[in-house]
Amino acid sequence: MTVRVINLGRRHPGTPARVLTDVSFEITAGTLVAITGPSGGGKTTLLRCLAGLEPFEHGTVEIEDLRVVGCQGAGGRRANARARAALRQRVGLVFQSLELFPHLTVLENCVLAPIHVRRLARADAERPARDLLARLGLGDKLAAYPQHLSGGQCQRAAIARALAMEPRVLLYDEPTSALDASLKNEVAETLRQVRGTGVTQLVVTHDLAFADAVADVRFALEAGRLRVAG
Amino acid sequence: MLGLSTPASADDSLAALRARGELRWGADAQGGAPYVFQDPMDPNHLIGFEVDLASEIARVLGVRARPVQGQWDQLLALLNRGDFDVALNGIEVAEEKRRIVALSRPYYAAPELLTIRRSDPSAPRSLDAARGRRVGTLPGSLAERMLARAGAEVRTYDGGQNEIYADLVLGRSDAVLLDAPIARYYGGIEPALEVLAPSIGEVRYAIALRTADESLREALDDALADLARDGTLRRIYERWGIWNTETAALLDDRRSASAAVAEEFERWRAAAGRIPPFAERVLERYPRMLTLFARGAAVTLALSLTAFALAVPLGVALAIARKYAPRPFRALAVAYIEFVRGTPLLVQLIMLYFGLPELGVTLDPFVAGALGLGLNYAAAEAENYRAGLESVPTPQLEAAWSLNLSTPQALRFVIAPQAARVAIPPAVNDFIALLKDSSLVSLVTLTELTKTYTNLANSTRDHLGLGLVVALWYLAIGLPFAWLARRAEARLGRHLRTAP
Repeated sequence: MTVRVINLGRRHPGTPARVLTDVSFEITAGTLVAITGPSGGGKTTLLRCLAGLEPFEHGTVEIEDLRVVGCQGAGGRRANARARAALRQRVGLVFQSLELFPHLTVLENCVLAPIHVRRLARADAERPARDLLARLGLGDKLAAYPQHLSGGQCQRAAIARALAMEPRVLLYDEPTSALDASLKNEVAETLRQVRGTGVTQLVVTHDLAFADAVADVRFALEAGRLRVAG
Repeated sequence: MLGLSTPASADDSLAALRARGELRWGADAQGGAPYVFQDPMDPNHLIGFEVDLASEIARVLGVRARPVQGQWDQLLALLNRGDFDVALNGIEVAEEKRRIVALSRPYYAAPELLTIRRSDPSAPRSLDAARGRRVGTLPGSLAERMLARAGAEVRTYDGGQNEIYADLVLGRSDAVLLDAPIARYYGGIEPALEVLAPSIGEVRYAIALRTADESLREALDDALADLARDGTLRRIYERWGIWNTETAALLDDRRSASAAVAEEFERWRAAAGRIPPFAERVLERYPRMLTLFARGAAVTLALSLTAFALAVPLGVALAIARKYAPRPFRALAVAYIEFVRGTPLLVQLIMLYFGLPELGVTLDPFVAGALGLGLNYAAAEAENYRAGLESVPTPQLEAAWSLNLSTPQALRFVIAPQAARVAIPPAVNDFIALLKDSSLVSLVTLTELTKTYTNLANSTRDHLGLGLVVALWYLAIGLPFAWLARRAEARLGRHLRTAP
């Protein structure tokens, strides 16, 4: 197993209302899992917890050798902050709004974190990034700014930026929300391409057709509870 | 007997001054002729009867005289702060002054003279007639108190003496009451004005010292007595055309009236009585002022750059604290910004320069000026940078975190470059405002561009032409920064240009 989530629980900050309740699932290494469900069902919160951007109060997340246990209280939040940093090392996230850095070129977007987090020399960071971008069809856009890319190109650049940190797990938040039908196929193709590299993928989407087209396994998340779908 | 008459003085002010070899005397060159002013024929030199007096006193004491520029209404505060040894600039003998400083024996006495417009038939020709009329004078002077007692509508001027008489010529006031030397030098050379002969009251000038400097006071009194006895004071006053019966009585000088030529007054009348045509000023007079203006510009620029070099990092820290720090730090940052932004810069400068010495911290003028401006502008900068930070969407920070960049790394590589593009134009705007606000530091004895201008304008009576000159200097300093800012902004915004 690459990813194992056990009884994950998360409250709305400052309220007793639960966003996620006892969410449990497992993902085998290299598979592509889709989680579908209506808006407000907790899909994005689940992704943010897994990506280490939000703390969670209950349950456990295991990714390979890393085990993160939910914490409560101030001391817990500090311990959780360290655990979340460890999570981010293993998990990449492609935001719904992509959040490419607009002041950096496509190549600079992809090498920023490898240079400053993994402490690679610029040349050592650029070489694999160029290969990656070439494989994703952006070989001629290395020096372009995100502003000058099409929607599909931006999507692939954001995926490349996340992959450049060599995560074990890559999460996608609504990757097709802003795309038309032909571009959805393009994204599906990219996800299949990434699956070929052995990276475990988790896609959150409300687009059932897309989920069916790409996913090996499909879950549904409704009102904070997960069930096997399809 | 000799041993007994020598006071057992504990203070070493005189010894310290002799050891230093220099008498630092405070005066304001903006006050004008004939006291201490820039020579209109050669503005690089400070002249005036008090310049001559100071060097004669220094000669008797066996030291050099060094003038120190200070704002006239602050001279006594600057003296007590230790910026110079004595204040020597038309300081009137008055009881309330003795509460904060010591005064030497008087060195000059003058009547107050009323000046009116020749063309004004209803002009007040006596103090009694001044009741209810608009009369100009200097603030805090004997003339002001006499006018107030007489029921006149008193107009006081903080600028130079020239403005007071210029307003009278323009009809903005009905008369001017001032000390005889000022009336002669500014009222007497103006054809439209008439200085009325009757003397009204008498004012005496003395040198101010710190109360504790007893030995220096005795030495000054002795020196003044010597200079009165050997006729040096009379020669100085005659050369400047200000010898009068009041001073003769004060110095106990019974020699008959002399026929000495008031050569310095004639020189002044030749130079300032007629303002040459603009072309002549541009070709002959202004080039001679180049080094003075350059020196003022250098002070303005050095001060502004130092202050800004302090304001930028402090502003960044405040902006980051305000947006990202835990609550207590955020509250501190907000409190600092609101306090500094909500109080006048002038008040802050006075607190730094004159207030801190009460706590035992005496700052150098440049340090005090740069610190005051820098601390003040940091608050404005903080708000500029915060606006920049706010312009970057929050998910950008999360995207950086998700790539495992630390918060400082995210701020530096992702947020700051995007925020800078938004923050640079107002920051440069602030720097240019800072260049201009730096004129406030003339308060702390620094002669920067604006002070250079006001000094020169008063000694040459040329406000408009020199105003254009000083405006050009400010533009010359400010424009390169505006240009640099446009380049930086374009560079930071290159990702926004249309695709190649």
